[in-house]
Amino acid sequence: MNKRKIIFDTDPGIDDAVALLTLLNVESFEVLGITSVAGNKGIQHTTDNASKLINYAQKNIKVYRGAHSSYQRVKDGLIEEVRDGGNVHGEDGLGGVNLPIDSDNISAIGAIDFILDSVRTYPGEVEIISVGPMTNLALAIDQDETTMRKVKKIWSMGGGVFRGNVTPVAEFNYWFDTISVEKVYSLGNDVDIVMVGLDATHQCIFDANDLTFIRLAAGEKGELIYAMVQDYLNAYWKFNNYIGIVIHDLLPVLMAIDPTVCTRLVHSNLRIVHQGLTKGQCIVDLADSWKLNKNAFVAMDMDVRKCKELFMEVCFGLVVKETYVGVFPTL
Amino acid sequence: MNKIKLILDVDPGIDDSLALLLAGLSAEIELLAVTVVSGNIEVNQAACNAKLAMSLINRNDVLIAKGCALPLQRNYVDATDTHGKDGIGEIYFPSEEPIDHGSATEVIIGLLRQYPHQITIAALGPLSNLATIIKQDAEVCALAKEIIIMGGSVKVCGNCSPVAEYNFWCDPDAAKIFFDAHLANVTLVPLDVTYKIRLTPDMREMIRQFKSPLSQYVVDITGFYVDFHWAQERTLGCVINDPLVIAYLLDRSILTFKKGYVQIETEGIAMGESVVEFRETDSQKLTDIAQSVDSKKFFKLFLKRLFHEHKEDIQLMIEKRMIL
Repeated sequence: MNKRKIIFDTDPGIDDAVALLTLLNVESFEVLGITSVAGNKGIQHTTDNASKLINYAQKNIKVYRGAHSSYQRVKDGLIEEVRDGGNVHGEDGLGGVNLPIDSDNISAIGAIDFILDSVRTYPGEVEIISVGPMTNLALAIDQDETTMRKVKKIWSMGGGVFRGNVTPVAEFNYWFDTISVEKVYSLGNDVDIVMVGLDATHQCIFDANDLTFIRLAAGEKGELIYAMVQDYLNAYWKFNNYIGIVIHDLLPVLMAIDPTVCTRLVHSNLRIVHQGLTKGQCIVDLADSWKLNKNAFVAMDMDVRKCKELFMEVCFGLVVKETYVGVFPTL
Repeated sequence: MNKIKLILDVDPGIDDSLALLLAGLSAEIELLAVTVVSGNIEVNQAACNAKLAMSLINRNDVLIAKGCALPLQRNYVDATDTHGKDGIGEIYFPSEEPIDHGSATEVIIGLLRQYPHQITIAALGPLSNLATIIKQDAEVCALAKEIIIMGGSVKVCGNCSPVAEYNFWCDPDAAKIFFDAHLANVTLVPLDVTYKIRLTPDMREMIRQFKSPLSQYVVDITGFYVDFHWAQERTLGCVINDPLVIAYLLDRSILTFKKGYVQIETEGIAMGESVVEFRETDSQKLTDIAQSVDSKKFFKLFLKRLFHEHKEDIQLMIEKRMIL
């Protein structure tokens, strides 16, 4: 059987890491490559972290280094903005977990060339799961829009309809590089673009019960993920009053595996605000009041239980999933 | 008991007219003035509509004053698509003007000075009148005991754009001036809760059976609104935002609140959006924002006040679950 061709565009990032470790286990996926981008951390960190995770998973897949800054800074020839210090992802972006690096799996080819070459090789077949700022995709569009219109599908973690995190109305990935968001969604007539934003991701809270289960029942990888998310857990308590975490970037991966984990997907017009009070807000016309072209499929509701079971099964295996169902019966 | 000294700043408008009826028929409320503003319908017609509502309930004693004819900066866009060409459903087209008592802003300023820290202002239209007062004299608005605003949308779609509600969208600059003034005791009642106040066909049919001029008027003015809601959004029945604010004055348990910092977008595709930061810690900036509503409690109060002589019928219909 022909495997689905996947490119994972990412800025690891703790939730990126969990998403990637899950993605690498999907049997029906052929992961063509990982493209890194600056976002949660600077490009050196995100590239190294992607490399570390592939190395950990013992996969023969390459990392392709991408944009070091948001679109406008790259275009203006500016150097990277230094984003140092800790944030929700810890100093190094992986929550302080030590994983060995293998720089052999970092390609000399850049992310944009890699994306374009892949789409040219497999026109109409490549699906991009984008879980960081969309800078690489926008730069690829600038270079060869015709090719980018032959991407099969883009699964995007970013944005929000009724939620924000950086501001009350803006989500980080989209806020970080609004120009790229606009460029990517301009492909929406030819490419199916699925937005998995904060409305969907915040429904799926992995609480302390889930996380403890992962530590106890999901082997070495479970222990690693548990260790990795501890800073993240503290941040969610502090900023959201959650006893648990939202693994944002995992959800587009789960949806790519099984679209039925999303129970309400609205085909809508999406526009983004570039400046001012509402900078980074994506305005999604759910009710079609503007009668504009529908360039986005927006995930509004998730089947949370199905998401969690799918994650347990794909990331840790069928036995762990069955144990999970036994420990947390639905009735 | 002290009566609630109330100034109603409105743009009637179908739901505004229902708010006028509820306020005018409630003995706990001393209705000091009705001030009108261009919004749903331009200010001259709005004044005539207010006059009609008040005369139907024999409250011609209430002072009605005209305010701003235009938004502060933006071009004026009315909401006659929703409210009809006359603003109240295209049946009455009232033309009788109220007696001139001076401008709305003069009336409001005068009353606030006369009754410092005693007056409640309920603003149910664009905030042009209040913003004009703030621009003239920022101190005088602080003389209000409380100001309750119907407007904005927080976690639900807007009604003028995906993110903007009409009152703020119509005059975003006024809304910005108002919220940037950080007045104390401001309460915001957004679409998030008013969307749940839906006058259903069953309720309208019950009201029609009451067969009085007032009941006929309520049925008449809401007909256009019902058709609009069906055509526009496939909602059965009509959302009557504005009387919720009056009901809340009469029964404070109808709404629950959360504090947040409200800012208004005045430009671009998000124009008129109310951006609310619930994590703001500077208490000076915080406004009470309605979060949930007891819509059954609202309708019991609303229907029994408007149609007091039919309150047994209303109770019976509730008990038989014909309404609510």
